[in-house]
Amino acid sequence: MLTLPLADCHDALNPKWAPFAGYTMPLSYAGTLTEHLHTRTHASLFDVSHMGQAVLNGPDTDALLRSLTPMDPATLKTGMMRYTVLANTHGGIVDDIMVLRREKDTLIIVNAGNKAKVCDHIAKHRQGDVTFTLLDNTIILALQGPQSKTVIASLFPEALDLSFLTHRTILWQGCEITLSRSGYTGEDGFEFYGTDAKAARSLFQALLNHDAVKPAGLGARDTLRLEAGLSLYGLDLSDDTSPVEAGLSFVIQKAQRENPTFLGHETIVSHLKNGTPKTLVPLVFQGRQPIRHDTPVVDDADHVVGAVTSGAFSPTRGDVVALAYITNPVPEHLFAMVRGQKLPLMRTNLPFVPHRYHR
Amino acid sequence: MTRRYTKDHEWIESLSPTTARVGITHHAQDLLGDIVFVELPAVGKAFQTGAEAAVVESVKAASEVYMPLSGTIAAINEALIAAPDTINRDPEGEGWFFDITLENPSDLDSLMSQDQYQTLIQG
Repeated sequence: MLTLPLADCHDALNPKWAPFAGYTMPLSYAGTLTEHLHTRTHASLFDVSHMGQAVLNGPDTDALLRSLTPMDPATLKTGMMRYTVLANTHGGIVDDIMVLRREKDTLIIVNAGNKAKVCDHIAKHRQGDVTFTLLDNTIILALQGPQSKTVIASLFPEALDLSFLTHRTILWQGCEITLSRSGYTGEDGFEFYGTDAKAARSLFQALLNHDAVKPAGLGARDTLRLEAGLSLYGLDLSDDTSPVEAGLSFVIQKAQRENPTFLGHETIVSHLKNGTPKTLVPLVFQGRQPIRHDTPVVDDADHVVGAVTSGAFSPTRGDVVALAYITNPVPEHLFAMVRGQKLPLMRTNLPFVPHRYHR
Repeated sequence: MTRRYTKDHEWIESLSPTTARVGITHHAQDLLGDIVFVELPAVGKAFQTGAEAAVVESVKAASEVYMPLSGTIAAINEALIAAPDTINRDPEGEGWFFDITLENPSDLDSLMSQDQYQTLIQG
């Protein structure tokens, strides 16, 4: 089991720990519900250093992005960042990634559990003059919540003019840190991408020292992202789900729709034009009984038509929200089968809780 | 009144010579984390020792509450349905789950004492 570079900082806060994607991660500090609601009203600090930072460098960087993702790299200017997917030959998702265009290179954020797979995938398909390097022992801190901006105002006033999905370089104790306005909770927030553990340790403490900020763990991160309708690789996304099935058609940019060049485009563009065998459907159960991953979904006649990929009690709404892959055409009436009970589900639109990004 | 414990982190306390109250321990609620839902058995239903009598769901996971001793459900704590967080707040008091009429009241003595339970969870 791997440990986070800042594990000692967390130990001092006495969290509950849980294994996730090969890492021992803080699960909660004051409790998941408390941390969730604190993030929606104040600001929370998450250590997500389990995620990988990889650097693309060289004149053929854009050619590589054009051949392995449905993005149009020409539209990604320095200081911008974009969510996209690495697609495989049959249109499934190798990983969902964040791409940050920096002055000297392009930074890719990959899921912890997919680091090795992404490296293999890129090694196999890389062409031309471009290197892909997964960095070791990097640090990612996420400050999330409506009061994040007051925290940033006190420490990094030069970053306050960032809008959603933009970034800049800041200096902290002589170390360069990439600071973006982004996150995985649906709230306004910032993420720090660093490579120096010593600087990150003092940054972690400086952020926590602010009155509005409390630490939050993986438990709250999961319920917050689900309320925001953001998918999680391994649950909602996999090597066998296309971005169109997953409700991520927005990642296929105009140039790639008109003249597709990316791996897996045959399946993915066909899904766009002709529909998909299954669709990720947002569902609400108006009760308190959680509907969890792998729960079967049935129609009026009790036929199984799909399964829940993510589901949880929503602390913000007070009811239960879920995402489920349902075979097309999606029946009008859907039910979750939980311990022999048939719980009625309502279709809804994402996000389950409105986003409050700073645009 | 005698309070006994099970390896499944439940407590059972005699209320009268033939009835007892059942709940989960402080240690159990701490392991579960924030509790958001409980499913309680029907009053009058009979269960054997070890049968699944109730379900408790936290933000993290669903867990069964087992019948610590054979008997019939005499009463349930309906207040938990609207306020499942009571179990986190006061698991060994207000957060009780159900009362049972014991089939063999003397079986209570076969369960762990508080000292034995403390040894188990510290082990």
